[in-house]
Amino acid sequence: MIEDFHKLPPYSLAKPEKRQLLLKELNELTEMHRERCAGYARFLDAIGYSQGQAQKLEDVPFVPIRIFKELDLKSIPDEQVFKTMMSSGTSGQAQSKIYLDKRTAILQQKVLLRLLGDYVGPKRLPMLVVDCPATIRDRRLFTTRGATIMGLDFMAKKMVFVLNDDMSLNLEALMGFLETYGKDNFLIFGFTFMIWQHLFDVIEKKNLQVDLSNGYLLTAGGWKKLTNAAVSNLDFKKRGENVCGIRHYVDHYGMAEQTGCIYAECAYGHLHASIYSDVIVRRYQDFSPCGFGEPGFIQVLSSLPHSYPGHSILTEDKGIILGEDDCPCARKGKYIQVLGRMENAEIRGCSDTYAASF
Amino acid sequence: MQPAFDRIKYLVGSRKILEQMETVPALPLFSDKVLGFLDCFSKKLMENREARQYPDVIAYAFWIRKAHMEQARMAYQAGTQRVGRGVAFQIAPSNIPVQFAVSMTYALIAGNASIVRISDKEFEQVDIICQTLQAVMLDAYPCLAPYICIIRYAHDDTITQLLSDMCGVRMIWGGNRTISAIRKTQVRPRCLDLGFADRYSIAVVDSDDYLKQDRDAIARDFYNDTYFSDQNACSSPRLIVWTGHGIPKAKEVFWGALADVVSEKYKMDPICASEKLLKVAVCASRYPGVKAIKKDNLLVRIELPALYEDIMGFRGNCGFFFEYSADKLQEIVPILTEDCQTIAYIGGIEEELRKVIADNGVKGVDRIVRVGHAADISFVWDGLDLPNVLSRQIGNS
Repeated sequence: MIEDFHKLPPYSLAKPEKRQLLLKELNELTEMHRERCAGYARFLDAIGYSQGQAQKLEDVPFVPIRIFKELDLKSIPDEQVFKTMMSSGTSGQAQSKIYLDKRTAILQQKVLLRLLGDYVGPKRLPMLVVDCPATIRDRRLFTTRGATIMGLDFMAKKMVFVLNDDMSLNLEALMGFLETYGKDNFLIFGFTFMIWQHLFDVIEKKNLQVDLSNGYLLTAGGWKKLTNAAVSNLDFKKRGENVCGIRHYVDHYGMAEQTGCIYAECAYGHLHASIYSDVIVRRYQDFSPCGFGEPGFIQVLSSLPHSYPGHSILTEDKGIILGEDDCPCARKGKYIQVLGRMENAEIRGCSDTYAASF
Repeated sequence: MQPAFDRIKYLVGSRKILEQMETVPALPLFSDKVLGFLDCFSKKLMENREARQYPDVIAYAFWIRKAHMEQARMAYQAGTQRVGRGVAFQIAPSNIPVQFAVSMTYALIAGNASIVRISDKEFEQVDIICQTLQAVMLDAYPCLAPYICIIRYAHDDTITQLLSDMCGVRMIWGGNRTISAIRKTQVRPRCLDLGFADRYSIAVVDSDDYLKQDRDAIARDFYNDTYFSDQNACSSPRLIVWTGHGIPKAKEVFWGALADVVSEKYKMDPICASEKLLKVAVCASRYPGVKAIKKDNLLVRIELPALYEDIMGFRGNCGFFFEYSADKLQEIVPILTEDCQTIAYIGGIEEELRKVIADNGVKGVDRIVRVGHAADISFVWDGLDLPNVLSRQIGNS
């Protein structure tokens, strides 16, 4: 049962134990979703996947990530839908629809808290959100950005938005927050390109004195827009330190289709899988698993999705597995590097937002 | 002077030529001038080292050579009976690189001046053809320069309207969305407005005949019909219907031989692998009972338990095939809708196919060709005999 995972520290299992525990959980999820979700059952039939077949994690069947854009897949009756997460898409583009029941939603929150807690400490901290309040105003329709922020609501003692709805900096809110909370540890959250453009740029241009040195900056990808502007992860950190003194950075990889199971970056720049999830990288020629260091499609496994068949998803992101159980940061499990979207991903026009954020 | 023409990029021709195109005289069908020019163009392409790397460019060059065109002139009995309609304005497709040149050729042999708008998608074939064409016109055929403009412009209704105002025939090469977008602009009352819409094609294989033939040669032919254009051509079969008694064996041999050719020749974008997996998932949810069969991601087959009437609305490409085993050929009738373009066949079943079509009042199927000929260039396309359609017949008593 998933509850067993909660008793363990989130990065504590080495390969043999983790594989055994996770495989059992994932096999159960496959069969549960097969029983409750007709679309998923038909997919398993079409690919000839028979019951209880997976002997190892690599054998767990995977669905393509865009299936959640093409089909409404849920394993719960309509009346149990607690909320529906939509990936933000540009106009005319299909959105992913992820159906959550209360249990899965709570699981996602809990796991997210546990994983981030491992990086920033278990205490709930006040949080500066580098975004505008409009992002979360309409709660019936969650966008990825809104859902991401709402997902963090749990872990924040208090949330303060520092952008106005027109994306200008709300200096009053920022200074007020720092006056009250700036002496102790606090969290900063935002998408990298928004922080770059709407925080760093503005502070520098207006020559403001802002001290964020006690802040832990959580980011959720969005690197593509910065890379296009020739800004690297390192440039970003340097500038953050120069402009407003930020020293702690926790970037992470994740997606709306597997909220909660994030892959957060340690001090060595590695993105880590927790005990709740795993990553397999696959070759495009035949989807066979790649060796360490060999780039391919990232497949993500998560033990959280109970309300929709998203426990094993083949993304269209390119990545590599750097190693397993031996990161100098002492976290167990695989650690990866994300190399970006597969070229031409989403032939009908792509959006930066959905795979790069959770 | 049209300021909107400033936004046009000329690959062949110029703004001046474009603006005066309406005033050039129409030519007779298969005129000496055009045939001489095409032959010279053919030779230059054949000599071009870069062009020789592209079988599609060479196939085009071969098609426009003198011997072939002279033969066609005889067959069409082109005398003084037919002349062009004026300016032919053509919107070329973005999926088949040389189609713009084929379209231009149809227009020229029918006696029309030719404006071809090509897509922004970069293909080396397009550059090679345009550069060679420009050179031929400058060096040997300046008299044809007033007849040809090959242009690019961003989606721009003003330009499309201006060009549509000039033309006696407009040819819009699909897809359907392009056709309806372009048709928002008007043509002149007598203008012939031809839409070459989205079509699909199938293959029908007599398994017993197939097993008697050269498996490797057929695999290469089928590869050219499908993988060569990433299965993006309307004429590329996407469904294979098996008939006869040797189906299981024939399937094994056919797909095995094809897989060998594909693994040797085909370069697939990584993203196609996930695209195909997505197609499998969506297809499975829509049609319960289908089976996906694959050894790797280069060749993905979906076995259909029944010939669903709307199955051909489902488009896969880059090596994504439906297949169905039929007891009787008659079973294919429901999918031969007006959107069905080509049937490519293997075995001695052509007559039977023609009979099924004639007996059942089928509205689709414009071509029945042997496998290996689905991508052939032909004077008749989508059921239209283009040299005749694009010219006027001067009737008599």
